[in-house]
Amino acid sequence: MKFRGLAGARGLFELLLGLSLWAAAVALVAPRPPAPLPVPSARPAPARAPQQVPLVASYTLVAKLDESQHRIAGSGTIAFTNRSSAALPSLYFHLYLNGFKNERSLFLRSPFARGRSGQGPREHGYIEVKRLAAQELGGMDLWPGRVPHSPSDAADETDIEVPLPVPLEPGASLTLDVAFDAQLPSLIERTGHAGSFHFAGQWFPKLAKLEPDGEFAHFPFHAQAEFYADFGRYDVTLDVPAGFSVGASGQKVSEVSRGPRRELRYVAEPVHDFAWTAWDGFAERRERIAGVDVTLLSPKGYEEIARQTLSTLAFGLPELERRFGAYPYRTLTVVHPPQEAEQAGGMEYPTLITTGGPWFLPYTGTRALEAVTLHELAHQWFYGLVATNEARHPFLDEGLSSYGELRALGVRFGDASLANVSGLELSAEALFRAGAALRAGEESLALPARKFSSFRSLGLLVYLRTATALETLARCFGRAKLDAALGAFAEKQRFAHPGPEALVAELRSELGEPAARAFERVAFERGRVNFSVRELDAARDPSATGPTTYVNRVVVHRTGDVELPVEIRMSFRNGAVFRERWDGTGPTWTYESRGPAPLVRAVVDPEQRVLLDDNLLDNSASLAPRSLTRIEERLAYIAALTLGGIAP
Amino acid sequence: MTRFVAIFRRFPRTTAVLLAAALRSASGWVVAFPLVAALSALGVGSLPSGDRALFAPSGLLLVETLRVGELPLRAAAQTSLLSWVLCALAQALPTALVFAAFALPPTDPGAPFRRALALTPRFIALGALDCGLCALTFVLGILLWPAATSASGDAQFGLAALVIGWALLLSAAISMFVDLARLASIEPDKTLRQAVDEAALGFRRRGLRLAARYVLTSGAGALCVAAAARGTELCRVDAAGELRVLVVFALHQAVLIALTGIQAVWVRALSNTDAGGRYWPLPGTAAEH
Repeated sequence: MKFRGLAGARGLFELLLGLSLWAAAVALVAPRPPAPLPVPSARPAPARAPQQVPLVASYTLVAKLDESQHRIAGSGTIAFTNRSSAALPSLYFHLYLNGFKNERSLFLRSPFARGRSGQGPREHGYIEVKRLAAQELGGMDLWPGRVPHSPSDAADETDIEVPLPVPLEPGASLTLDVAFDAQLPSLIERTGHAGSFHFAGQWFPKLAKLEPDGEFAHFPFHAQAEFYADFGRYDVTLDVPAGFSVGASGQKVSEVSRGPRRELRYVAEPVHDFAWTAWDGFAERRERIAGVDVTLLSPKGYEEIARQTLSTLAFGLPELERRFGAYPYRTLTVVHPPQEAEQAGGMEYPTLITTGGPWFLPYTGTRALEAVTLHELAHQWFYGLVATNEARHPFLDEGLSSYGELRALGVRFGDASLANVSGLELSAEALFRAGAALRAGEESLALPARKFSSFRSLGLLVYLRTATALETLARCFGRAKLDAALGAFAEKQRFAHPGPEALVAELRSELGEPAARAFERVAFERGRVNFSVRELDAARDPSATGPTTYVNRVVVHRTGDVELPVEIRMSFRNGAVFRERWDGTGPTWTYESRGPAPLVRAVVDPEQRVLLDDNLLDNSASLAPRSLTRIEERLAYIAALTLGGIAP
Repeated sequence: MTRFVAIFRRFPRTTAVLLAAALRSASGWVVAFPLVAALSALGVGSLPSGDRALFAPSGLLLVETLRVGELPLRAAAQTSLLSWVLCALAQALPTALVFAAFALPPTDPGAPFRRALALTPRFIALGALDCGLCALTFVLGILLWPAATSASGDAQFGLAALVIGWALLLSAAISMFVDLARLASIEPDKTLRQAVDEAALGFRRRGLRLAARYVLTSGAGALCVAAAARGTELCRVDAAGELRVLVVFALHQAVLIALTGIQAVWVRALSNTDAGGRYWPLPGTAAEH
């Protein structure tokens, strides 16, 4: 067993040569880096000054983190102005953390409605408001007068009405002194703790969104729903252990060390939420991208993750600005949580997003890291700036962000926008389309989040089907027109909390009535569509007297209620190819002709513009089906390899 | 036929390699057949570009075929899996052929074939032992993987490499050991138990030396497969032209032949001592332990 003399040297040589061969083999099949970044179209660097937005609810808070108890002691003031047209008899507060208070909360009581993870917290969390005193009312504490549970749900404490002793007239303001304790749960739904990792999302008593008519858009925290709030100024001082790195919404304006602790003050304006994270395992990287100061917090050792995330942001930020208008803030913080805190990943807050994935993700050949980064970045527009009601119309934020992700991935990686594994290129469109078809026609895209039958259904419809519908419009009616419509929607509705009608109006304006109608059918009426070639015939014409003449016939069907224009391509045995357009109205389209060659193949939508099509395999018919030699050869080879293996 | 026999008599070892590769390739076609039949039934042949569409960049129709054909493809995959198991058992024959052709002195040209047929049952048993132990290693690796990949900081790469490396080393050691047992079992008067015992002795005596050769031969095999994968990618079978399919087919068959040839080289390495070319197991080793 010992190397000796010549034999030992030979063995060592063989070993080194063998290792070199293995290295060469791995290098040959390793995922190749993406093509160089395309340069987004030139556009002047946008001003990063905060825009003048009427502020409704502003928060000045101090939050002290007890890292051993995972508890936040909070205090400060909430400045609220009634900008509606009606006097307000009550205020409504969202206490989202109470969704994790016990198993009776609306969030946790159904084992089938525990949201994205499908799991409950190992440790419960809650928020306890100790004081809510109105300065304008002589310091009167309003909290004891609250309704202690959510409206019409005695077991839930996430949607709390606080009656006012006198109605708050339009234009009037209240300054509320608030004190609260927020006990973070073990990580669930993007908030909580895992070891010393803390992510504080929805951690403070948050005023419900006041609508222009004086109604509060309040709702109990449902596992499938997200959030909705007014714009305001957030001035938050975080008191954390000195060894912890901190990431937060907004811009850090000061930092003071006090012995074993640090105080960091962040200001964000105009935004409608504030989230932060603190952990002693972060590595911090800073980069200036498109004029924005980007801070990336990722676990130590996640070098490749950090490199790819920053590369994606360097591409994504200008790309999304080009599509949806300038990102108006000076800072962006990106948090990549560690694996034990993966539930904190994939979430958006104003000027702060979280990504996620294990450290080896960049080596898998998939674009999962880029996809989540671009998706959450797109949320800075569709949620952050446009600020739609995520609980009422989740498709307006998740659907449009998914479309932004889809397009950005397509521009960045082309046909391999989902994965490129050993030469197998998969696009995000292929995955989105397939997912969208799984729930076609089952539920409307525009349902409130809690009305979806499951989170899986919400995911397939709200995320994937919305994006697929928009991509279909782009392919059928013109990509430039769709880009113009979405750009106009994003810019005009900035800070405006629009509803779906504003989006449809832009689609109608830019793409025309048929496109808007098609989108409405899909979004609001469970619309679906399937094109298929039902009949394909070619027969000799017995009545022809001269040269042989063929009678050719094609019947194309459209089922479903979404009308979209398509092309039909017919191929003849003599090589001739004939194309026809059909506007997609009516249930069938028929073609008949006489000619010297028989028809051999007919294809409806040959360029696969209608990604909403329920079944792409029935879009063609052939009188001379091709053999499957390619797939047969490949499968046989793979099977033979697995039978014998690579090793001797 | 006469001509084949003549070639076989002149080049019995080459013929054995080609025959073993052909058997392996044929097995692949048998395993693939149910899936291909299911794809045909799904209408893939009627797609505008036939099955080229399944290889097209973006994978739109590939994913669609998997979605629409989920149930028939799942049923076909089960049939293919059964075929795979049966063919995997049948691989004992080409493996025995390579061992018999390259471990036995080249005397009577027909001897390796006769011996291979006789050895097949033993090789099936040893193949099952190989698969079972490697599967166990794989399962252990899967169980350890979450712990390795959840490590934070700079330890993560080391831990993951440790798990992967450990699993690969163990699998390689198992394969080497089983090949030594295959070699020992060639002698007709040995029981399977005696063959395993001799393999254990040989592994202890020559394991390190053989390991270097194992890394070399397996590296050559990996390079062949990887180069073919790259070559196949360059051939772009999603484009029109049956010649592309022919080229890829030839490339893949060449890989299967090369892998069988590499297996033969490995068997020669097993059956020879470092330089002397003596037949192994050495006379008397059975009595030594």
